[in-house]
Amino acid sequence: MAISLSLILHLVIIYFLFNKWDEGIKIQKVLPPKYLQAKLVNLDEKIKKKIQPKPKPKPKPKPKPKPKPKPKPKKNNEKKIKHKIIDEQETKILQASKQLELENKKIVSSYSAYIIERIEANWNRPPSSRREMEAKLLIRLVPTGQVISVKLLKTSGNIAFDRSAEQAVYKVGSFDKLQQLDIQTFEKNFRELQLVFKPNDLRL
Amino acid sequence: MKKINLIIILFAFISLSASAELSINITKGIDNPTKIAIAPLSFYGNQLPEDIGRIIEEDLKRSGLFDPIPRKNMLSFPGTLKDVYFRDWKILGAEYLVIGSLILSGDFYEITYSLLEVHSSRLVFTKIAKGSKDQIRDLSHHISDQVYEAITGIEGAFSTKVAYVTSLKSNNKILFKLMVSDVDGARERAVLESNHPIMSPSWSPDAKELVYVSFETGRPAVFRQNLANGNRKQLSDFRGLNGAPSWSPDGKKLALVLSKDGNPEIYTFDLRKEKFIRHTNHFAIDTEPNWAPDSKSLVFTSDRGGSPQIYRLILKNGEVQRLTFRGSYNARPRLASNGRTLVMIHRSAHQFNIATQDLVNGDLRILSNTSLDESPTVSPNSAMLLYATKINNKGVLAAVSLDAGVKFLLPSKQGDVREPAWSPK
Amino acid sequence: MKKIYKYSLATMVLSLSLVGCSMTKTNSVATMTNDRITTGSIKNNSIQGSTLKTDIKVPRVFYFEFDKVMLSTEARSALRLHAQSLRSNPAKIRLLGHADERGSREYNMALGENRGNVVRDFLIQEGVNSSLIEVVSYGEEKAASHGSNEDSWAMNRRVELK
Repeated sequence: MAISLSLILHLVIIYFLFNKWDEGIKIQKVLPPKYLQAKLVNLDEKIKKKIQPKPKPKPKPKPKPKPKPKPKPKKNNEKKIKHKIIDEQETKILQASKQLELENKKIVSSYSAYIIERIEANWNRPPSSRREMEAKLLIRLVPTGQVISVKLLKTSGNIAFDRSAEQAVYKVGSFDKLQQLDIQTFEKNFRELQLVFKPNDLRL
Repeated sequence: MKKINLIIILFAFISLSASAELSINITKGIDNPTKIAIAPLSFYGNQLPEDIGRIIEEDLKRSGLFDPIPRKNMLSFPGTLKDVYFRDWKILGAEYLVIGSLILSGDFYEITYSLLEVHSSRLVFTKIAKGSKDQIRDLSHHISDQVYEAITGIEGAFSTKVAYVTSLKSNNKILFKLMVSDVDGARERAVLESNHPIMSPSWSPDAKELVYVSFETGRPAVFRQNLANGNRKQLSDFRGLNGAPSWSPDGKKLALVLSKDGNPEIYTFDLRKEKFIRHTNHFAIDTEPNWAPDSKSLVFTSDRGGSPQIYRLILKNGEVQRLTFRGSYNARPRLASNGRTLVMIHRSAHQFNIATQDLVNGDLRILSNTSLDESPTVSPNSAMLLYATKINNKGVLAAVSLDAGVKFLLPSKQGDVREPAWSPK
Repeated sequence: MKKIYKYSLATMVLSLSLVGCSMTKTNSVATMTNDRITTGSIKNNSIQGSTLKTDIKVPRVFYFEFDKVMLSTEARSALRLHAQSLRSNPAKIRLLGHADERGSREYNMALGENRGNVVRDFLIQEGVNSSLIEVVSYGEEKAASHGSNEDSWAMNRRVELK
């Protein structure tokens, strides 16, 4: 009884400690890589005058058309052109970022496939395993690919099954190919990841 | 200013979509026997009468689930946790390591042993077991059970026993014996010796008694015997068949076959009240009853459908359901303790093999590759089965794992061996 | 600084909890149980021999085809002679039924009994008093021939009149 209480208390403390710790990392993630900023600098050069942000801050353009009816068409045209250029630039940014996302996804999925292949080659399931079982692990890696921690997030309900999943990761020991990955993609995706062990190749 | 907002929004979008932790699905594995190292147990004193480490290695190997690291390859023999260098074992490819040390305290041996995970350098457990000087084999099998259970999630069956019948021709007479040995074949002892046939041993649920059929009175009759003191009692004395006794898992009754009413029917016998109750009522052969784990139904062989098939009898209402539909001969049913695996003799292409049928999904699997197989008996953890067969005209026992991964013959003994019955504990 | 502090505190807490776990795990000692076995003993049972008066040359063993319970013509003629003998000189007889080794042992006990019953019924048809006849099955337990081939099996599918 006392043992389980102290365990629970310890786990609660640890949870809060690690939680706050994580927030710090998340804030770091939002910092942009430098090369994208470079493109935007180009944008500034193209457009000479300062561009007013269009659809969102609506109140501003409204008061202006009132005092001068004649200069209106000119200003509208200018605005339209400016808006068009802005739209094009935005579309380009969006396309570029979507492209990047796609490439990023490809890289992530290819390295994920590598991780899957290594683990599956080392996963030795106990005879008490059943197809419906599912265990979730949280593993932490370093850029060399080495596994530095394995944590059971969700038990399958069968200790031997959970243990076999953990053992599979420990047996791999190090996902060496991750060394070829650029540091940003590594940090974003592979520093810490979840493994869901759910066998669908079992007879029972 | 607002453009910076846009930048932030865009990158927030990109990073948010990826900031949910990457989750990878692992859906397959390779189920090779687990490599385990059993470091020889350390003992400060005179040589031990048995090599405990060797017994454990053989137990684990026989289960088909483990691949023990050869002792000659070991770099060290740690007896305690502080002596363990995990690198020594990683090099050998061991996934698990068992170490232990033995002390003699008075007339007892006390073994402290540990199971360790090599790759994670973690301790799984440390336990202590105690036994008298002639219980070294029991201590070894106990450790095998604990290691097996921690790694496979299934209770070990290395401390169980087997009863079986032997027949040996000598001087134109045949000597029959009812024997009990450890499940690894060691410590064979005679329960009964007779000049008349002995058949169908069945264990009590506490593994302290056997019931069996003996022809010593000139006709088949059912006897009950206490193993520790050898006391025997004849339970049935009818004309015709008295056979196939099966002890209920709740210990209260026997199921058996009697043909006193004209043809073989299934009866139950209340051990306390000493009363027989008849449960089947059909002119066909009904025989070989065996209890379901909940003691509420029996599976049995009947040829009421024209050829031997397996049926289930619900004791409460007498309802009979047919269970086997494939093949022209299915007999001698045994229900595994998991309640869903039916084991039987199945004939296909003139061969008699041991087969299992999953009562939930209907899968039929032939497990043995010998022929003339009979008398299957299942281990209490439903992992293995023993059966009798003939090799080179000699009766021998064979083992096969229920997932058909492992098969082997038991060491040959004098004479013919048959009718194995696995003890329930 | 803050992070390092949290990190070390977490590690301390973690390791303390782990140590605490292994220290407080009480190792209950498993003690082995005793399993002595004593051999049982059998009372001496003498089984009476028959006083059947039929000529010794008349067959007293009758064979059966695989999966069949029909009596051959030779069997019938022999049994008629035995029936004659039993009608004039009643004697208790035992009909021992057997089966070949294939298939399960207890089911073979039932097959052996079936065969014995067929012989009994024939004798009763021939006028023998049923109280003189006992059918005892030995299934595959008393093989006449120990090979695992058709010839051996044919020798074992039999009823012996004793």
